Amino acid sequence: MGKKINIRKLSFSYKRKSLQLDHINLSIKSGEVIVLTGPSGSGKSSLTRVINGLIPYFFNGELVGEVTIGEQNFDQMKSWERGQLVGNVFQDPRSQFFSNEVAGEIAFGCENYGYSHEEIRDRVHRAADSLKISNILERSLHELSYGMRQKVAIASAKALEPEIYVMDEPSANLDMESTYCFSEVIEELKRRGKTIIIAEHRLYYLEEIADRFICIENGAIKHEFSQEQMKELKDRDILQMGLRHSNLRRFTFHTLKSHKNAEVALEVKALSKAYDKLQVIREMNFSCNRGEVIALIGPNGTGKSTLGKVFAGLVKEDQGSISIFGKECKAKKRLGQVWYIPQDLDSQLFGEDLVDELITGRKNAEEQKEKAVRILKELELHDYAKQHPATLSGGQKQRLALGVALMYEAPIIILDEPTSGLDGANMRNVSRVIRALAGKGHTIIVITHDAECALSCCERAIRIEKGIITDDFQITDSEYFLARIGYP
Amino acid sequence: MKRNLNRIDGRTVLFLTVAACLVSFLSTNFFAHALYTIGFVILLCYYGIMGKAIGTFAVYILALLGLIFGTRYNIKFPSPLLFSMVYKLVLPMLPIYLLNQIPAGKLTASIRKLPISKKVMLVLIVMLRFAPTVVQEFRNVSEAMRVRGFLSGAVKVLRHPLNTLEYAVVPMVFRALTIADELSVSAIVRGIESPCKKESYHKSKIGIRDTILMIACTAAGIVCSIV
Repeated sequence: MGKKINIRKLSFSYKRKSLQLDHINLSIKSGEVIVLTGPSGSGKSSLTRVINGLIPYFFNGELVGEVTIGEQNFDQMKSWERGQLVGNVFQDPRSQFFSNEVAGEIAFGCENYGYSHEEIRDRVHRAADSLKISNILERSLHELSYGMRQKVAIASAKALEPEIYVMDEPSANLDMESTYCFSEVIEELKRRGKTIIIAEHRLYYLEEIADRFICIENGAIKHEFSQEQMKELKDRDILQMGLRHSNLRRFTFHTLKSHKNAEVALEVKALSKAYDKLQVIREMNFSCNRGEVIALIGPNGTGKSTLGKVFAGLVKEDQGSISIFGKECKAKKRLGQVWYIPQDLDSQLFGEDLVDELITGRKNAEEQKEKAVRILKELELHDYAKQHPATLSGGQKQRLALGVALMYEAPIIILDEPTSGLDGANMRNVSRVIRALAGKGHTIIVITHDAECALSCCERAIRIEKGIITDDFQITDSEYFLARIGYP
Repeated sequence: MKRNLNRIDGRTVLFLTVAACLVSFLSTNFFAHALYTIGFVILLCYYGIMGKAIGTFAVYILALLGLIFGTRYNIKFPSPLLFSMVYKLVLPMLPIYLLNQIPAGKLTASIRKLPISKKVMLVLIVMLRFAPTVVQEFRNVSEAMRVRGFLSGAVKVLRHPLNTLEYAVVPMVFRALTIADELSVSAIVRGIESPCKKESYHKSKIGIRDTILMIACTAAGIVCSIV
């Protein structure tokens, strides 16, 4: 019989800040799968951090209330005792890896708990077998796709055989196929009677697995839905709560009004790129017009980001030609004309505040301030103008990155996974900004696994697999798009 | 080749790295220095890192030629000092390639067996873990700088070196702080603070092969440094 988690009158605030968790009362039965959802910054991650003990041990602040697991009070446990009871999977497996090869990573926890060499090997092989990754134990983690890395992260948690799993946005970087592989893993853990708590924005892969969906807003539990109740939620309710859809077929699709005109913005002929012996882009041909918004879809590791970087001139093509507005351009000439916004925006922030971020490196910076302020207003960021860019939320950072592209008047913008890790409201907000920019004549390519984002802002989709375009179609109905992105 | 690499102990590679550093900076004889470097190139080829070994050796030859001709014909640009720096740094780079190929878990297990204080050990482990991440982050930052035109030409970089440095350092510092937090969290929830005696997935044992390699490296190093 597993242990029940009881959270009573739990409140938490980081030092001198408003309440992150406000009088949370929650009881989780052993073997339950609980999904914590709600807007970004609502307190989901804070609640998972209380359950895995990182609050207040690592993230200091004022914590009141009580958390018990079985009969044990969490306060009285040491950090390593909690680690044996609660396994963790985070959003980005890259930053939780301590090893450079799979076996060493899975073994990391076992090594810390003083198991013998033989016991460690046995646990590593058992965990790898159960996730069907025994064949990659000696491979480097850098070579693996996001989906495989997430499996390694789960195996690493599983090797310690915890009773409880806490996962913080585990699907944020996964493509549809990897997401469903991941959902099978969760189902298997559930069958084995494990308790699973997942903080997540993307709900579609959990609709048939989760026992309860708990919506958190401003640190408090605002709604609680059973699996059946979640299925019956209307589109209007989902929008109102700022959530994402738990079933993508219930997404209300509207064909988008195209802003495309006859001018060809980007034309690619016989484009190829290889890294060592790996052919990432093969003889690719396509073109897009001014004002078009295109979704670039396809599995993880299939060459989408490389293609985006080649377009932007960050990576040189091996063969083929790229023309911008009818003029063939070498890589150096494309820099600045095709603006690439990567998924990880923290390494892109150079300014001290938002205005500074937009004018940094510009000539006549003082004269550019007026333009910067206007752009911030357009992107609804002016209220945060004095803040440091790193303190913005994910959605705000994404809009700021678009603002920088506008400042430089880049006619073609490529966004790499712009809505990864964003809640429903922020995802829709970013999608709206993308449509508005298309209306102003920008050509936008959105590299995405996010079906809701693509259906909200893209009028055309190009599917890539193994460096080849496998489909190129206008998005006129959601069914066909969902089938092509791999939604079952 | 991978099998060969699996047979070498992490401590041996650390020893080779220290030896290469010492010989590179103590040796004053071009010929002896070159022979010692060739020895390392052969070693790397044996362990399957042929491409990098030969590429780095080519850089070594160029630096050596630059240094010889630069000093003989009094060529001021590129500076002989630059060639001298490259010439001295190539040799220590070679065992670092080897270090990079060893599974981090195996290296950690080896470091744990070193007769050093726990604090130094922890610093070494974190440095080895952090180095590849920092390199990757630096790549991301430099890409962003290129998109914004901060690196659009050598003249621009040379005219405003402090600006360029600031653009590179500010996001790196923010990322480093975030990554440090994420790594610490990941380590804590997996019991890094557990006080028990730790064993490893990888067996760490210095074998005959390691002993021969260390003795050969030391003997050759002494000869190269005193001739």
